[in-house]
Amino acid sequence: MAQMVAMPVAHSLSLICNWAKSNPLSRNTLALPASNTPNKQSLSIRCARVGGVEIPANKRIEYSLQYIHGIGRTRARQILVDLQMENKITKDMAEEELIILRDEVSKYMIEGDLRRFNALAIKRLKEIQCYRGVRHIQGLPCRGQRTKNNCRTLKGKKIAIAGKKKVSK
Amino acid sequence: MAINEPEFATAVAVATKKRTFKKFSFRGFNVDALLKMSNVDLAKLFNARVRRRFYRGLKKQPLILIKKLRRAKKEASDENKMKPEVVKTHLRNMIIVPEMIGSVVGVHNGKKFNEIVIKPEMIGHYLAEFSMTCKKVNHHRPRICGCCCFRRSTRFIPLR
Repeated sequence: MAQMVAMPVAHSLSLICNWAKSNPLSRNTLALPASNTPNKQSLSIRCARVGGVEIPANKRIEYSLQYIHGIGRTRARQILVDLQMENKITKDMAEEELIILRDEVSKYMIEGDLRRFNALAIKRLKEIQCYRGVRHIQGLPCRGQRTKNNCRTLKGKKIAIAGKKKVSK
Repeated sequence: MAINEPEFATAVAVATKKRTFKKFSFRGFNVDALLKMSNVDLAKLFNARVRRRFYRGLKKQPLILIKKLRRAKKEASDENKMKPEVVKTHLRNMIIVPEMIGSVVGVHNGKKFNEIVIKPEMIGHYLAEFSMTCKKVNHHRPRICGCCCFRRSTRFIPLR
């Protein structure tokens, strides 16, 4: 019994002595117990980029595509039908499938091109000074809506509304 | 080392090509092609409201206006003027066709005739869109009474 108690103490003492000597070999030896611990699997981050945009990986591809500006429900379904692609969860897709998907999506006008196109159309209206262009310049609704009591998205919060109490901070 | 002639010519050609000015095209057709089109072919390029108007036939008044514009253009070219004479009209619902490009139209807004120079970008729009019928409303703070009525000025309290 006494011998069994003494053994671990001696072992630890020998380790301490080796460290005190500052021997590189013993230092490497000392590191060995640390490497014996079970090695955990490192996290692998994998996200899909389609059309220059990062689309959610945890949703099915039909709904992930709708996060791209310019692709809605109808167009997403059309893309899947054209590619004969199964509606899988995005992170389960292989790289080849993603490449095919990117090529198909690039055929449409999306994101920057679409925004640029719309900006050009509005710019043309402003340049020819037609009624709609003037409304765009003034920041007012262009489709005949009433402006006395509504259109707060365009008018904003700066213009005071009679009878409305200020929200206390 | 001397300049390589073919490469230089190629570079100049590329530069010239880059500096080519942007030409106006309406749905893929330029102005010359639009002028040669018949009314039916032209109508197919416009939106539904305009197409309906063309299909249901043009009335006499718009044709009279177009004749006036033609005459004004011809006179301007004869006299070497920069702009044709103003042609006044009350036809606010007239649709701008390619033939009218370059003309000056005075469109009535209920009170006076606003002069509009027809540009290629205006094809397919109504004349009324370029002649506003109402003035822009501006609000401002109430002012102190400017007249010399003593009673009112005594009681009036400025809000500022």
